[in-house]
Amino acid sequence: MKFILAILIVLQFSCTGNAPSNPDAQFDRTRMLDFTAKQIIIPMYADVLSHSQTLDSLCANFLVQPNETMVIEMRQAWRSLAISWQYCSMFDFGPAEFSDGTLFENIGTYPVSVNKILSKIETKDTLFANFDRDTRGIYAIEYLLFNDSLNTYKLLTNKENNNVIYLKKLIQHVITKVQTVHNAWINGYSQTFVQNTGVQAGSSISELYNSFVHSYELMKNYQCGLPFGLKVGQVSTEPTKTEGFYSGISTELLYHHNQALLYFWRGYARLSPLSSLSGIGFKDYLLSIPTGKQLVEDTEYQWEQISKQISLLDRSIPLSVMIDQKMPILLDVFTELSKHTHFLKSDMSSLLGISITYTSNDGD
Amino acid sequence: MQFLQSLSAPVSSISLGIFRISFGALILLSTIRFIALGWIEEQILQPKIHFQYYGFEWITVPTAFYVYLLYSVLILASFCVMIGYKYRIMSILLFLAFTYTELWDISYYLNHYYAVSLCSFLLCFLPAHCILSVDSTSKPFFYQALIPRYYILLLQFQIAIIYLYAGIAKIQYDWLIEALPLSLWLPSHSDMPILGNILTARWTAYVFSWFGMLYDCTIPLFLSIQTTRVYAYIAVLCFHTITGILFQIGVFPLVMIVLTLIFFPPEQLLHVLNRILSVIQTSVRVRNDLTKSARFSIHPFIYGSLIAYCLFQLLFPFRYVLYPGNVFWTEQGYRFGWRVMLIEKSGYTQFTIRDSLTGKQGIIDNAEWLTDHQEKQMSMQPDLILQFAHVLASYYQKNGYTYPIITADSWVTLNGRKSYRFIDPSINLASIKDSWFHKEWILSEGVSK
Repeated sequence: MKFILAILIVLQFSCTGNAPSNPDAQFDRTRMLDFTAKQIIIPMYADVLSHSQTLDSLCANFLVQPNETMVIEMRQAWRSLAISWQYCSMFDFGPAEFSDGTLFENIGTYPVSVNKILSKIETKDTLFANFDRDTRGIYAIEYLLFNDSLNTYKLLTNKENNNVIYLKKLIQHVITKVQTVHNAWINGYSQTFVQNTGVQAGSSISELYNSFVHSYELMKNYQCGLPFGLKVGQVSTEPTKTEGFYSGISTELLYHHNQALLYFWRGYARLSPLSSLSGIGFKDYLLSIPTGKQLVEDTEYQWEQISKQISLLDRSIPLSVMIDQKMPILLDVFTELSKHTHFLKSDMSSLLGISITYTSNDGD
Repeated sequence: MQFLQSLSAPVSSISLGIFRISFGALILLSTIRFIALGWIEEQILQPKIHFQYYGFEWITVPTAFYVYLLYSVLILASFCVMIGYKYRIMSILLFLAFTYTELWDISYYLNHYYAVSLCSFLLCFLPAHCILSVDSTSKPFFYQALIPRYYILLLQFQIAIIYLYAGIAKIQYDWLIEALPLSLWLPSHSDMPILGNILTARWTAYVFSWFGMLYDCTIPLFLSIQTTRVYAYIAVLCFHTITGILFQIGVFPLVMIVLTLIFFPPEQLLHVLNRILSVIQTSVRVRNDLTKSARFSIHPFIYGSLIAYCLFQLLFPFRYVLYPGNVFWTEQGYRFGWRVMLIEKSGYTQFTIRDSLTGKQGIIDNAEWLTDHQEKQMSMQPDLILQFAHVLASYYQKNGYTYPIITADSWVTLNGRKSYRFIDPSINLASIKDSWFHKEWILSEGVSK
């Protein structure tokens, strides 16, 4: 007992008396969480919300006075919304977890089910209180705005405006969901988030990390793997399963999703006036660990390879078209994404001691 | 002969009785906690597949009704063991129910679950209801003030093995010279009040590593010596409380705090027990009945069994020396060896399935099959990687891949070092049978980049 007491006293004394032998190890997680909440997450939710509201008011105007130009404006507003969403979708935790699924599941599900959407329009079913997540959200809106692009105006305005009414309800549903999440973040959750500075299951760092890795895997497996026909059980490529199939901006979305993840890892705030230098992210966290430098170099190198491969893709040509014409380049993208997974999914959590499960369990 | 006599020398049964009460209470508490945390659903009922123990593939998760029934039996049995009611049957039920539930999924294997299984196994053979129990009160036939010493020694041996082997496992380069993995784990607690600053200092990891090793290696000895026992138990309390606060180890600290009670002599336990009884203001007091005398002997069969059990406990954890390579990397002979909180290991494994007949191939999304926890465990343990490959092979053989070839792109990081390829990517895992033999398809750490 005396021995333990002596150790504790020595520890306490040296702690207050001297600087720790490894000052780098004292990474300020509070600062990182504060920065992430205030400069990244909240502005991104606000941005998605504002793009949804713009789309909503355009749609409201269209309902009153429909014309072809407004269809083009609505499409443009949708594109901005979908791109903004790429920077926000990875924060799918905390207030984004609803009883009927996460925000991503509710507004980011793709591919959508055309048949189900048509049947909902037919039956004027706009409650969205069900698990048919492929009938709502950003990509259901996309379907209505871009499908059969030459006839969109006609489609939206015929049948007693059923389509446009459904469209309006879809947009409002997106707004309600995003607003709920945004409100929670600005009304207290960000404090809770910043104060929960541990790394155990359920801590903010663990939530952020798991959500980030999950988003990376979605990019690899669903934005790329599935439409490229690489998943087990697929007999061929499935270009219609690309994200943003109807609008033709799937390559653009992939580019932005990769950027979003990279920005977040580096601690860049896309929408903040703060420069990248003042940001703080997982990269800085890793650099604070004595052996973290190597992993940061490896991660940066691999992310460079990914970005290089993605930059070889012409962003004006959709992935669905490239699948038919330039599959080898797409496979290169997938290969580079695959090589990167273990840096994010295992090396990083190991070095930072982050719990990679969402719930706790016994251990020894 | 003298040794045999000293083994069977009569000692007070109080220690055994108190051990039984605390052990029953511990299992009761941890089972209620397990249920209350929703782990039956999360760990047992929700997963699509379960990783099975080699040789115990016949143990599978039954329907929800039977799972809950078994947990109810576990609650009942642990309660009855605690109060010493129908002890003989209840102690067997406790051992069987607890061990059966542990054998459902090896990805949830924990050393302290194994420790509990072993102790409950030993309790099946010991008359721990001979005192401080409903059985001994209602039926004086069961009452026994004295028991042969080896009953206690056996339990003490079991606990000592746990500590000693955990300590021996720490005598290695990473733990002592690099202070790994503690130098990775401790700084993550920098947000703790007061202690935060200390925990981030590099030398703290060294102090914890060396102290941890010395503690594990010596605590059974200090608990056995009369003059050091109380201090040693205070160290047990402090050590397990600190590790309990710092790491996500659930009930493990409590398990060790309870199990080490067996080192106390009956007088001391009685003293504390009576103190507790007086605090809760009951007039009941327990006395050490030393009026009786008894002579015990050990039947040769029991003696043989004891030797066999002890030899197994001594040797089985060392089976890893029969395998080439680093046990922390290959995990061949890793389990059931009291390697507790010893390494930081993490991995990522992506499987590809190819039909050798048609050439058709596809990538597996692990998340469609496994929970986060299962995926984490599978990705760094070769036998689980193999097992999962077999599950995939048998499923896809019936679903479009006549002759499935399964390969793994597997990367593992050990103690914060750079990731290296873990499994030979050219090996068709579907064609490999699991066995006790060395798994040649595990690559050595650092061999392949």
